[in-house]
Amino acid sequence: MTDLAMNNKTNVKRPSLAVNIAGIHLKNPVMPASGTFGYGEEYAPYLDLERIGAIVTKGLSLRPKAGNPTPRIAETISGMLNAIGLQNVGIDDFIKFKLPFLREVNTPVIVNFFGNTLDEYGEVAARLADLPEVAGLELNISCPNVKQGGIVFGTDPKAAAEVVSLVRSRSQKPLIVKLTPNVTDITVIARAVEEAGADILHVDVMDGHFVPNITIGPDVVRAIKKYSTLPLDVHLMIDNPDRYIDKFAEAGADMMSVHVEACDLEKLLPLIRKLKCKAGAVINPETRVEAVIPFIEYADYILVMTVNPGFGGQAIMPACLEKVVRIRKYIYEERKVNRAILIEVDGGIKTSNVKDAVKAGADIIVAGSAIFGSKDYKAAIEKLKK
Amino acid sequence: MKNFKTIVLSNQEISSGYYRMRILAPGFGKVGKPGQFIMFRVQTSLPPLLRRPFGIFRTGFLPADCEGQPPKEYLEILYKVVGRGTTIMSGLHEGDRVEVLGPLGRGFDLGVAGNDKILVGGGIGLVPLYMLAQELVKSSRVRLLIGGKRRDDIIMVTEFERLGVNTHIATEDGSLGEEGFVTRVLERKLQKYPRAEVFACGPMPMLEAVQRLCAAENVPLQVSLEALMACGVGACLGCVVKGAGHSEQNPQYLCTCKEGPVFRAERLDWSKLTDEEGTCEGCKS
Repeated sequence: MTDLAMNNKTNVKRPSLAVNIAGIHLKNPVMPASGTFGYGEEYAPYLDLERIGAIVTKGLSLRPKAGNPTPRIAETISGMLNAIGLQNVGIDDFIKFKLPFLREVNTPVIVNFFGNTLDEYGEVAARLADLPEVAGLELNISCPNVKQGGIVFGTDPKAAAEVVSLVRSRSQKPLIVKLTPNVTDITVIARAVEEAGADILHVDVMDGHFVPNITIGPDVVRAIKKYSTLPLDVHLMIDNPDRYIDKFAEAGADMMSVHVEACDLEKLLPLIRKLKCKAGAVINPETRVEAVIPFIEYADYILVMTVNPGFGGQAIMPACLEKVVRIRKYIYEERKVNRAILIEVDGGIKTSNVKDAVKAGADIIVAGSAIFGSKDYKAAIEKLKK
Repeated sequence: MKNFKTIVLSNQEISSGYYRMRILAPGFGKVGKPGQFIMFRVQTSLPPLLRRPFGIFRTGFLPADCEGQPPKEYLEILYKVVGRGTTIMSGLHEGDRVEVLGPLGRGFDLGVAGNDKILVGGGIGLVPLYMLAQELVKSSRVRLLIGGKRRDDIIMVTEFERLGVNTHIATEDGSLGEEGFVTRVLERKLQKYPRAEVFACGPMPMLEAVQRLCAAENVPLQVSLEALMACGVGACLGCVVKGAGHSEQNPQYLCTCKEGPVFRAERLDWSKLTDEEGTCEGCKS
């Protein structure tokens, strides 16, 4: 309050937070997520509804919906999980009993809705099309908590396009499409590359600390293992890998590599071997090859990074291939253990440079963009193998 | 009444594992009705995120700190330590900052003046019955039947007796009052006072037994339910129970927080009130 008083005195203009989204004017860009705010009236005694940018209703369907059995909520550390199951009064009761209250509130109303069938989506959109108190529509094709929560439409590009164009044809209102993140299934891709001729599945595990990106954990590795018979090569680009090797071994890793920059290889490589995994030592582009040479004895394979780890699609750093030559030479001439030690190369390998890597002495080639950037995995793998 | 930030005035263990907390709440006595509850944020930091629902035990005034100051109005809640939230609460002290949303929900209907009133409380379920008794004693004879596993679960008996309420205690192990379920006492009382009205709060198995007895004797019954809640205001639909006539085609889910927590027994589908094992004291954690 004192801030405000000062502002008035000194005539400082308060900033405008107003935004315009698809023709809906919002006083400020704050609006509740659908389902957290009921039909608006529930919070009227506690909050001035005209202070928020817009009111987004609970998801509505053509007919009333019972929702899931209880329990529907569970608390987590500083959060909660819910599976309400889209319980709602149905579009007719909404228009009859809930909308009159919202009409009196000077805040745009965005109606979230869903359907079991394409027709239901169209029908609900049509019933809302001519109501002046509805500022916009939010098309729900994302609810994961019920079978027909629209996620069927949200995970199939064709169906998604179909339902959006149908709704668009029934209503001129601004239309928000609520997408689901549950769209890529890594296990399907794992099988596809297996069928296309890959020999090993290489999985990058990033933690957001050791490298500036976050990827997957043991659960996803376990899921891949279930769907693929190929050896799983898990590359731990993480801090303190010693804490996680048990978990990844248990999740089904056949090969596990850890960075010379992240841990004590002399300790960790034997530990990984004890877990019945092939143990790999990884060396980043900026690290001198001497750093890894003392540990070659403990490893089953050496992974030479030819780009800085963290993101796919980078160009190869050719100087790194010289490391491969040095390591190869060491393995042939000076190694003291009597077992095969392979060299793996990862980063920027394409059809045009795969030969250089092999010539330098690489036994295993890791390819990301070269395969997944192409439409035909099989053709891409065959080309690389040639 | 809205959400307000306030402080703890006192927080005492009154029986093994049971606590009484007084919270500064000016003006609360005027708005809080018997049977209503508050959503209580147990501390200003996280976790936990969710507020916890607690029945209002009573409201009252403490003398002012010094002359010229108004008396301090408080609200009182009772709780049993069962989970993370109540464990944190048990460590709160005078002056600690807390947040209260309420009063919330629909409370008790006071029934017909002059009719005998029987209150049935199981363990911590006794909480919402105190303010109810305060009102009922003005025009009716009030009996309180208290049940618990053992003597530690029987709390606040003298507070009720001071109101002029006739109390009967039953414990499952017989360590206080008569041995057995409190519903056996109710069975006898219903024979003796066939025109009574019954008000009950406690664990679900107790409520179900009370409902069967009252239905058989055709005695009006109001129950106060407990449920795991997230919002407390009827928005999230996380705390629903099945209403009478519920079916998949004709859903009759009722929000415990908004349409309850007090329901007339006939509004509920007693055959399958909830899908879980039944709400319990633990849910109020």
